[in-house]
Amino acid sequence: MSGEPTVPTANEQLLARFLQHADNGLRRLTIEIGGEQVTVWLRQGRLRESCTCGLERCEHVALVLQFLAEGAAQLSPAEVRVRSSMRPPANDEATLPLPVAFEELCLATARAGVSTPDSPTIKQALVQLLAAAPKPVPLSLARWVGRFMGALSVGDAGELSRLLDGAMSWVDELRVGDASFAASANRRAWLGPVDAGNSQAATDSLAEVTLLEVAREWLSGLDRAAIERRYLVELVSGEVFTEERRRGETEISVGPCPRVAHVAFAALETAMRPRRARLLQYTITPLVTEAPWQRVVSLAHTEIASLRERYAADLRASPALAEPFAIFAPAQVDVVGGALTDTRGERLTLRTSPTMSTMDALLAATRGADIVCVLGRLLGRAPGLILQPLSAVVRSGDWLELRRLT
Amino acid sequence: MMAERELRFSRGRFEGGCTQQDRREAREIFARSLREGLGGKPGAPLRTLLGMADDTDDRVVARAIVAELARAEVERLSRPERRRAPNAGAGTSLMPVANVDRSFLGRLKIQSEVEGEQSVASMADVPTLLAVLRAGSLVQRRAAARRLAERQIDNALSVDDRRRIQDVLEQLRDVEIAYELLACHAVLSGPASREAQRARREVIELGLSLEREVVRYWEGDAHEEPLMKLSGDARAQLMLHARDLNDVLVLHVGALIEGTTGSPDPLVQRAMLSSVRYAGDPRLVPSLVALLEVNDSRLVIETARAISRVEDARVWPALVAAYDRSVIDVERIALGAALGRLGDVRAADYVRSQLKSEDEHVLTRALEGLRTLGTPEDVPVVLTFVRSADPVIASKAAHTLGRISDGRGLSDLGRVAREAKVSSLRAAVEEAVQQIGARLVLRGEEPNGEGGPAAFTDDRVSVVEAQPAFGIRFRALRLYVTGRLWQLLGARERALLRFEDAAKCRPDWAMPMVVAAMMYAARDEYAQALALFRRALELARSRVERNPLIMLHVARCFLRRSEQVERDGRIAIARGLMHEVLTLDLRRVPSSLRFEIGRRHETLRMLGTG
Repeated sequence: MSGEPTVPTANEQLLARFLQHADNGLRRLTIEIGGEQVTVWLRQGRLRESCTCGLERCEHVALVLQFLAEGAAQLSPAEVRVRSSMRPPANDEATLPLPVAFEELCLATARAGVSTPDSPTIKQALVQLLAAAPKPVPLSLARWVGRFMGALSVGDAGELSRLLDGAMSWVDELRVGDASFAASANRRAWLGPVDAGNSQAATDSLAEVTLLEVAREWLSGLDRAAIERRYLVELVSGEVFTEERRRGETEISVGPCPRVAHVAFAALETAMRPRRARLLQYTITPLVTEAPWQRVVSLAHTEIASLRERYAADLRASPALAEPFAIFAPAQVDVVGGALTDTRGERLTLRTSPTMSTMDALLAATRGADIVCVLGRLLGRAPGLILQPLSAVVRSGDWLELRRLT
Repeated sequence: MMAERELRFSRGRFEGGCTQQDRREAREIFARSLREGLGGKPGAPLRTLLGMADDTDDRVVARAIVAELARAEVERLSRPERRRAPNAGAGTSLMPVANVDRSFLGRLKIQSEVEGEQSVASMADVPTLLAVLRAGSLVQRRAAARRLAERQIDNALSVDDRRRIQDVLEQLRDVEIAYELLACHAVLSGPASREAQRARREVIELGLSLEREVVRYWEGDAHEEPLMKLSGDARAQLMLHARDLNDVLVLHVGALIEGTTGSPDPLVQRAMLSSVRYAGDPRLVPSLVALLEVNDSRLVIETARAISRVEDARVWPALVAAYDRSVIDVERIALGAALGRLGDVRAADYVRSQLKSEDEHVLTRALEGLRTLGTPEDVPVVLTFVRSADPVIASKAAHTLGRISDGRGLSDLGRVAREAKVSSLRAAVEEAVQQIGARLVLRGEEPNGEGGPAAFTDDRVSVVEAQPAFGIRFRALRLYVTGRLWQLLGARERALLRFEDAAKCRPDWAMPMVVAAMMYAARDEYAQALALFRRALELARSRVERNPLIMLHVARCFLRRSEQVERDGRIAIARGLMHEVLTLDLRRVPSSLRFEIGRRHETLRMLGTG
């Protein structure tokens, strides 16, 4: 519990200087250098740069950062706003092992508190975590970081505790040296395919199944909207699978949404809920007949109580990596209250944000058709379970159709 | 109180005897600890509550708090929640801060059930509807077109009203509402109506055949993507009718835009985005929203243009998020302008400040941006750009003045129109004046003195030139008629020879050159056709520009020739051709073709600047 002041690095000084002036309205700095414009701005607690030359980390950016860092270093220590830390100063050079980095993050969050989303201690711990992560950062870990940052930015202690507890459970498992299939699957989810010689280790598989893609969304990872996730329903068992890719990656099955994929073989990652598939041998068709939609409707939950059970079960199975997906057939749509109601009159609120009324989005996407069921991600929030709708099956004339929201 | 709890929660576990209330309280304590943090606060009570010694390491305490809270959270979320009051306002629309316009047009709603409130949907007066059609916002113009179609279907219009509608529809070249205008045209009588019905029928048939190809493409039976096989203007024409097309085709377009074809190509994405700019189809919104997040500014700009023309509740939040995040000027201006189209003027000051930019691209985008964000106060600044030596900037400034529609600009616009030597600038000014006139009518104002639309006459038309001698005119006419006869008989070479003779005989007569050029163009010999069209334009520019059929061929010829030379790698020449055709008065050219020319010019300009 050392109370010694930390010695900030040049980057930290620059970040601290930016944070100091952010309160005065500083949003971004644009500097012209060598005929190009370099812009520096703050996003998710990190300084970002872009240059009109279009190259990443170009010489213009390097020169501007050097220039700004020199200016920041010349400030007197009293001018630099650095939150005092109770833990020993972080070592920038030495990379911590991932389990230790998770512990540090848990400690930093508990010490600083989640009501201080700009805490440099938490940010530093996150930087260390990412430095300790394999490169490229595995999708599950990137998504975990995205969820952590999202929860931190709104001070959601419940979500943060679930994320941290899940991660720490995995760390405990790793320390014990558990070699079970489940533990290996967890390890693969957090670290990616670590054993290059046996890349199929700890995966399950799907063979000769028909999947129907029912929704797509872009999720935050290390950056905003960094991961595309697709949701596919297996028409016989009714299980929902996901497919994921980073922005710009092409290693994912092709085709529009909705589509039917006849899968000869797919690898499955089992540590997350829904389980993640990678389609390896498949054919697709964009023509979706009535029968698959009828099947989707038959899979829908009609009571919110059963959604809750499903949500809790998924969270217990995969505490940090579960993002339960639900198909819900509402008895009524409460437009004014922004909620869906089941046959018992219980309400499932739709997620909303300061700029977005999800109910409006749902109504816009369904374009006046009768909503038969709503498909989306379940979220546990302070008021209870809420739904982030991603698509809806509607009755248009005599036909069932899918309407995407995202 | 705390001591009591300590007993109940000893060793950090909820033991038997704990009530629901106890658990809730414990959860609250842990949540508060995690919210406020352990740093700088005495840690002993919390440690005691968790059943730990006072000197327990923070690490252990932190781990215990998150574990207890996570467990309590899962338990809480698996229980039925207490009945809570409906989320007031959650379902209501979060409308953007709109530009305050207290005039009739500013208060005119699309649809309203409030008594005494004016709405387009309940409007019956045809002249007012036509004025809204010219000068309203995008949603008002769309609604006015739909309302006019309804009024015609109701068969409740006088002959005068019908004629008035027909006249305006034939004059109006508003590509943003081309779909609604065609639908309105289709319910009129006469050849224009038949043409509109035919165009729609053809597009739907094309859509059906493309749908079959699309299915074959995804099922692996065809390797070439069917939409990219179409020419740019055919694609644009198809996507103007997107709302009439089946889901399979529209969702396929979405997949191309998103780049989920296995090998995404930014050029294909840009081409498709340009094609859907005026589609206005809500089914494309998910794909377009995904594109607003990419790192490629050019894609974001095209996406902003396309998505802001879709009437959908998901559009505004996506644009706000992208605008707040954007740091590149041209991209930020495009996003701000897109927000302006939805009535959100948060970007107005930023865009205004960019008018001082020395970067031509930024300046052009800022002028475009003011079309949706500008106010009458911006008119003096924009007027300075109408007098610019660069006809592209001058034309864009004129269009912007038309959209701002303030009467103070009329006299200056009149002066520019009289002095303009470039047809496209003159056309832009005339269109702007008509828009301003319509807006003034709706505001109940009147143009002052010299500024009215009546002040605009084409001086070039009224020039009386000395006619050649009768004998020469007769000989030229005879050669021309003979040429047409050979043409009808299919003797192409002979026909061309006669037209060439006619042109030599009477060099001031453009018709033989135009017909010969059209013959070359019909056989894809665009280089020869281009030379003849240029000669015809030099001789009788205003006459050629006023003929829709000839201008269709002229524009298409320039476009095809540009495509040919671009394929040969001569980008600068291709760009020059597009620049040249854009200086002509293209108002009588079909929207899709005009749009494709603009898109190609933009693409080639980007290629040219690397």
